[in-house]
Amino acid sequence: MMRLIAYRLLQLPLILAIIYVITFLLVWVAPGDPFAGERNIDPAVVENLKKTFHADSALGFLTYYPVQILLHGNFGQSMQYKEWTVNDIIRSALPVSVLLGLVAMTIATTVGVFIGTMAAVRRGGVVDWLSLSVALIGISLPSFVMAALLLMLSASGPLQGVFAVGRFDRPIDVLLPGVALALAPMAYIARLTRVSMLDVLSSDFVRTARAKGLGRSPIIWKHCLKNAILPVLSYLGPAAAYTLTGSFVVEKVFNIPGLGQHFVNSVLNRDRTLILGVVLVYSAFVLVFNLLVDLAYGLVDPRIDLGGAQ
Amino acid sequence: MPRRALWPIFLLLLVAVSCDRRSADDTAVFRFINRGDIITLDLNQMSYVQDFRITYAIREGLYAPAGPDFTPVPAGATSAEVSPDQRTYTFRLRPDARWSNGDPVTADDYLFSWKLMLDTPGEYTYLFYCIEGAKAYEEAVKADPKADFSQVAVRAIDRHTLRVTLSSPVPYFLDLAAFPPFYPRHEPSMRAFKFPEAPGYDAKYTRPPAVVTNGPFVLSDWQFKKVLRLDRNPHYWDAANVKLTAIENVINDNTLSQYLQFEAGAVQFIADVPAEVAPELREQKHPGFTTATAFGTAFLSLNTRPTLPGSDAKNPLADVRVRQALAMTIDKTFITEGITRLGEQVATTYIPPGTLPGYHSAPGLAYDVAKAKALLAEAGYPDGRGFPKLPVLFNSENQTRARIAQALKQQWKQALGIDVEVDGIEGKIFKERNSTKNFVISTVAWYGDYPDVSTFTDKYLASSLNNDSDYQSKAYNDLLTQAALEPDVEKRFEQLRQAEHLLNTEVPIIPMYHYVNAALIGPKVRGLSVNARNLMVWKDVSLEP
Repeated sequence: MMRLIAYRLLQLPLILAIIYVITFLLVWVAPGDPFAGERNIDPAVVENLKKTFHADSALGFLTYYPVQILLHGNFGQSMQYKEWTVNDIIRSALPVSVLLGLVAMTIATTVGVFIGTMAAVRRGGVVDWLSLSVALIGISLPSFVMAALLLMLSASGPLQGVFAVGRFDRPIDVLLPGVALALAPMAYIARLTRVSMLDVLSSDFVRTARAKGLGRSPIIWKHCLKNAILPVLSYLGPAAAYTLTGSFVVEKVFNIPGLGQHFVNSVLNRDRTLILGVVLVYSAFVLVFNLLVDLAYGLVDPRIDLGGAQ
Repeated sequence: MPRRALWPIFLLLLVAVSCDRRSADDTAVFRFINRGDIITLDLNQMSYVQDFRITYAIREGLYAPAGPDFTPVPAGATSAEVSPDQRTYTFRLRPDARWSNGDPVTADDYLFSWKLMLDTPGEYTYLFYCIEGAKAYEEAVKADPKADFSQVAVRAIDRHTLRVTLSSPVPYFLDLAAFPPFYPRHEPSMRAFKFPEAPGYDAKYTRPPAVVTNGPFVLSDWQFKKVLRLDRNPHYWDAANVKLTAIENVINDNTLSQYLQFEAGAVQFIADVPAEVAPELREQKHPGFTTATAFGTAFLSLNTRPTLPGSDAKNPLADVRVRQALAMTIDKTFITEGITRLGEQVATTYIPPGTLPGYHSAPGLAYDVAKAKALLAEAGYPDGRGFPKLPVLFNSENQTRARIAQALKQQWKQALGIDVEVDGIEGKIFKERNSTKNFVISTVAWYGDYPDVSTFTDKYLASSLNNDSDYQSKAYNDLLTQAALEPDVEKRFEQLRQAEHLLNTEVPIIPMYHYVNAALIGPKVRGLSVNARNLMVWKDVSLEP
């Protein structure tokens, strides 16, 4: 297992370097000038500005910024927001996005697994039927519709005053956006759990456990779930990527100063330094999260040998 | 993975996020939503209206715009003596003017700031060219960073006297003195931000706690993409007449959440109501909804070059008759009543009527299909036969423009029998295509920066960098050159009127409609009005308890 971790951690910088270069190439060839303002200005002035940003040539860019990142962890100056460095922006936005993502993932997994299990246990019953409907709604209702509905709900009726509208002041304000973001992965997780739970419920060891007189709850929640959760675990990696990158819409509707907005806006602004910074941070997150999920396999199911054949 | 392991991370994040917040319980704070987010507060690089709005609150120039017409009144200066030839201005600075750290504001602070505008030029540096020697200095300093600034005719006669000599009379010079690029800056607080090698300063000098300003408010907190907090400046010379104790510029890009925030009383003012909801609020007669004719016009840019971009094919729009035919067959009322729906005035002129006291544009081309058809036939395209399929470019992020492009396609087809193609492209590329003149017809707009005709007309000088249509008219250039030298206001206006009329009738641009500024003002707000310039005189604003 240590070998796996070491191997994956060594892979990480290489993958990130490849992502950096590919992103840079895309950003560099994209038409549109990051330094174009509202009015046209003297080309000489723009040239000067580009020089101060080391953006006058691809070579200049590539010999300056990667070195800065490696030596100082410095992503450079945002090309759009002249007062802020990319580090400033990521530092202020990342905790918000990660918190939102964690809240969403927590809701999605706990509620999703619960609904899925209940549906499997009461197969064909009302709970199963309800869970199917919830899953259908979750998968087909776009998050921006859900987000807008929740936002309007928070601005009127009994919820008024409980949550801030269009502000992100207190940690509780992350709850509604978390729900909006959680809905799609939650629905998917519920379906996954249900299917694999049905499989597990009909296996021999369950019958044996029942025969030995073990209660219904321990069987389901302890023995069955541990086996049924594997497909959910493998979905958590992509789901985490989704909640981090897909938070743009939810962040926009709830006006949350997270990283998702920069993922989109930096591209619209051709803010090259910010694009590269955000992409690197996101990629690192997704890679690390995938590693964590792989490690979790081993913890849940000892039969999976993470060290590989020795 | 045991869920227990996640809890410490989760809790840490909660702490990190909650440490960041600021108490929202003080009710005396005026909260408003500005247009978009703040791009920069560096005077050199500033060009967006939201940035100017904050600057008007935290900084002050020799003069300051005063409501409701934004006529310049003495502010950092107590008076200005103008020489008989109207070329020399001697400003007496207010002896009690202070920076927010208590330092006195001196003539040298103005000199320092103006020099910086020329050393590291930005979008508004061109406004300094009216000062004798400024343009020459800007050229010289490009080659040699140590060029002699004394060749620019700005002198600090003493600590509190500033003398400026212009190369020719500029009737709106006091308006310029009230415009942020001409504001002073506090060198000692910026020293730490000086670039070690390149000229100029890192824009971070504008961030609290380092920033030192001289306006009615100080910037005390700036959280990126969240909020800017302005507190009353105790050192401001006129602090007694500043009514608000604090202003918060809440950043919120989302239309729905903006509106809900306003309705919930979380913000008292939305400075620009988004176009998605403004027409609806107008129809509902929402009590807080207010509009005013803007100092800006929506128009079509027509490329007047002899060949189409990227080819040797003849550009039909190089022929003035074709341009006129296009202009005369646009049903602009359909556009303002069916698409924009804010009560905009349809435009036949470039300059919005009634926004410049004493100036009246001559009416431009009226809607006239018969005449347009004749003109088009004369130009060699009877009933649109042989007319190439030209693209109408628009910024695809702007839904209004998309619909206008569709309407144009249909109207020109019906009236002239010509086919155009609607071509929506992404914002940055749109901008680039316009400035490099890589377009044929483009839906654009222009807003004036300072209250004078030239803020509009200079755009179409042959030498202008913003002459996207590539309009080359000797008559037009001559009229503007004469006007720039004309000391008599009436005569000058007449020359400018003739020049504008050339634009309106030779139509390198087709004026469509004059913009309307739309705002939502809360019931407790006093001293705030929506105006053509779309700016606020912050000193006058107050909140009723």
